[in-house]
Amino acid sequence: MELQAKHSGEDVKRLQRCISDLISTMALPALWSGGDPSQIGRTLIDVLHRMLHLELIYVNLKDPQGEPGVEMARMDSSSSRAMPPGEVGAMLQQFMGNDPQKWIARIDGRVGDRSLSFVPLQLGLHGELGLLVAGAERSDFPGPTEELLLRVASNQAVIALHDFRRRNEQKRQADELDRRVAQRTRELAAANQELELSQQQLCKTEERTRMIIDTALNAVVTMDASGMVTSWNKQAETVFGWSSDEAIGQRMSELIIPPPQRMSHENGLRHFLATGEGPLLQRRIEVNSFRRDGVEFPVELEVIPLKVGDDWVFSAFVRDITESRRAQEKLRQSELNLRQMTETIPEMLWSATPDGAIDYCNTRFLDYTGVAADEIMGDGWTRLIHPDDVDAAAREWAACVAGGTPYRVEVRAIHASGNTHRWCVMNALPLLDKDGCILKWHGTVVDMHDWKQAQETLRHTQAELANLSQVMTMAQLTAAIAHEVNQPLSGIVTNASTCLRMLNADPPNVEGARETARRTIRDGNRAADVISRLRALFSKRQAATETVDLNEAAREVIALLLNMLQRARVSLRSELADDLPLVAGDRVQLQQVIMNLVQNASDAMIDVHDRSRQLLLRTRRDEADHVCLSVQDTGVGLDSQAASRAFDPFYTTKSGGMGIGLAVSRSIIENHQGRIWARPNDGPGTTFSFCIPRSPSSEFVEVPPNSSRGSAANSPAEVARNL
Amino acid sequence: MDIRSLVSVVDDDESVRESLPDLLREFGFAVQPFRSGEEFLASEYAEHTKCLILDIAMPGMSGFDVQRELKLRKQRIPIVFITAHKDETVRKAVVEDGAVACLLKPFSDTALFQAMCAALALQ
Repeated sequence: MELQAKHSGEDVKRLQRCISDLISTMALPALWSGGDPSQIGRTLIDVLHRMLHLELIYVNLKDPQGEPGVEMARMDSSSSRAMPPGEVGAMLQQFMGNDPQKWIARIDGRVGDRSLSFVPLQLGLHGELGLLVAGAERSDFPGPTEELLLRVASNQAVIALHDFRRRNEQKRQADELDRRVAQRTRELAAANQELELSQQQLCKTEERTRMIIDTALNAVVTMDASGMVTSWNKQAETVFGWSSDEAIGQRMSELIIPPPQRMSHENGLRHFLATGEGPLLQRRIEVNSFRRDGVEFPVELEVIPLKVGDDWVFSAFVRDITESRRAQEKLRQSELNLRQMTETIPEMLWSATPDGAIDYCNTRFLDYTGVAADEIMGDGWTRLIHPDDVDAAAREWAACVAGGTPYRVEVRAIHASGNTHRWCVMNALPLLDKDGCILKWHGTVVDMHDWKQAQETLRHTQAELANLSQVMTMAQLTAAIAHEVNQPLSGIVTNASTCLRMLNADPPNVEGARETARRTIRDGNRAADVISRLRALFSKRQAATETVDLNEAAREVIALLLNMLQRARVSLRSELADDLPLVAGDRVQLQQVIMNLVQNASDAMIDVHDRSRQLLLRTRRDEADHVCLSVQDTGVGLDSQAASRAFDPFYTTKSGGMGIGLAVSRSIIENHQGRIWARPNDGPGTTFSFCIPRSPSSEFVEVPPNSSRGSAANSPAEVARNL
Repeated sequence: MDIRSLVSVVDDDESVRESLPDLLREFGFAVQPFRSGEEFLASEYAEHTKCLILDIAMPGMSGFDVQRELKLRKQRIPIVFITAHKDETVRKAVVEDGAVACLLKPFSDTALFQAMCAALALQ
């Protein structure tokens, strides 16, 4: 009886020590939070050495990036000579071999003159985090509680190492924990002072262990073999909503397991007690748990069974992962949103990896090209581009990828309908991180085929219109003529000056003077040639005859001059008659006249600042069935003398003018058997008009290039009569 | 080499190359005509020229190009530009860029003489 009591007393002591050690071990993550692997290793060695009285402990922690890991060892001082950790590792490897699959729970080996038993424990599921080896001389090493403590400690180290690898999250939690530990320690210090006066050492120790477990990262709960709660830490109170007093003595399954799963929990417990099999034990699992308010929430959980005497104690370490689940769900949702957007947005979108390989095209893109996604990925996109454009596009892409510069090319891309190519603009921008490195390329493809064709047509029309000197503005023409004439004129003046000087010399240089005079005459003839060449430019040209819609011709001129007019701040209004008959003539020449009149009208308003600069272009059909066009300005106006001379060659009122524009215009209109005149407005400004006969029919009418001017009635006198 | 001040005339127009040197010789200068800026810059006369009469619009190097090249060579030859284009902004620009004068063709012998005097006074 007494023996039995003593026996059970020892059991209780052993159990108390074991629980105390276990609790200390469980508190390790708190010590390790924010720590690096070497700190984790050091503490692990300290704690195990202290608890288990080991002769040798060896820790090898691997580095996730493949850098050299942390290797440390401690050997009992009484044992043989001190060895550096590397040597210990090599020695252990000799005992254990290289293949962890073949390791047994206990390996024997000799160190110096002592034979030791070693327990190798892989850190992580496949030893990916490292290795822990504990060795002792005792023959019964490891006992069941020692094995449990080693396993729990290595488990805790795994948690700490995992947490170290997830540094950001860990950091946040560590800060919070530090704060709480500091606070607790302060409270503890205060409590200790009081307790020291009145309470025994044991009480203080109990208090401390309770405090430590309360500050543990995880909720820690234990139950006995009958399924009743035996301990419940502070964190568990927060997580499950039951206080420690309320929880202890209740059925564990009723407190934390959702009703549908309670049955299987109870069955699992019974099965383990009967057979020792527990597939869900001693590993991390994710399950749903149950809070006091009835809300289910996801947890990460590990249950460790512990045999104490003949009874089993189950410890569960529970972590609420609601937040991380929520974050995952949010990320998934945001990815889904983005995907939905890229698939529904009415644009062709694509993306590429930093090295320029296409990794995504949206459906619209695929529908447009009619090519399957996997054919486009990587550098397959080049098959979408017209063979003539592909080299330049690929070269540009390579350059942009190398330099991180925006990509923009105009290429012909394949179109699903009938294997045709259409003009597209491909654009892409790099997404950069804060260091300026490319994270991703995002690109678009825009079909601009119709726009491009319209531009092409417009350019073609403009080129036609711009033919030869017809669109050369009068100012440009004037400058060109001035240059041509001034060149020989310069020779004339210089030669004449030289000639005079030679004649004035004493004695006169008659031979030199004769030579320079000869050159003077030659340059004079050259100047005359220039003038006749100019005349030829305007008179000898064979007029093309066709039926011309003067409204249409005027519209084209307006389109061409619109920019110029806007720059000159001239507002143009046109009143084009609906019933305008066609005329027979040279469309380009007539447009030259219209352009000249509009240009003159704009020039006439250049000095107008006190009123609006308005230009009115009108077409009408007159009583004699002529087609008339007039251009009215609000400019400085012409006096009657100026109006009568306006169409004379080389008469000008403009500082930059040569006086050719209206003379040329008159010759063109007269060639069309029409007439042209100027008339002052009732208000400010002048109106220039011309009239030409309508085309007799839709047939082409031959217009003689040098038709008689007799009937054209455009002498200065005629102009004056029209005023 | 003539000890009189050497004036170089660069113009692509032949009548200028014929007439202008005669007039300048009447003034008392030694004269060397060139048909282009390239020809002038490549010649040995370039470094002895006391005054350069330079056409603006020429095929190949323009008058501005010659002016710029001389600046690069750090050769400070006074330049009188001559041009048949009446363009006030160009005239202002070359004078601001260091030219002595810019004469519009045709120019009088008096205008030329005044420009020459101004150019040589600079030295």
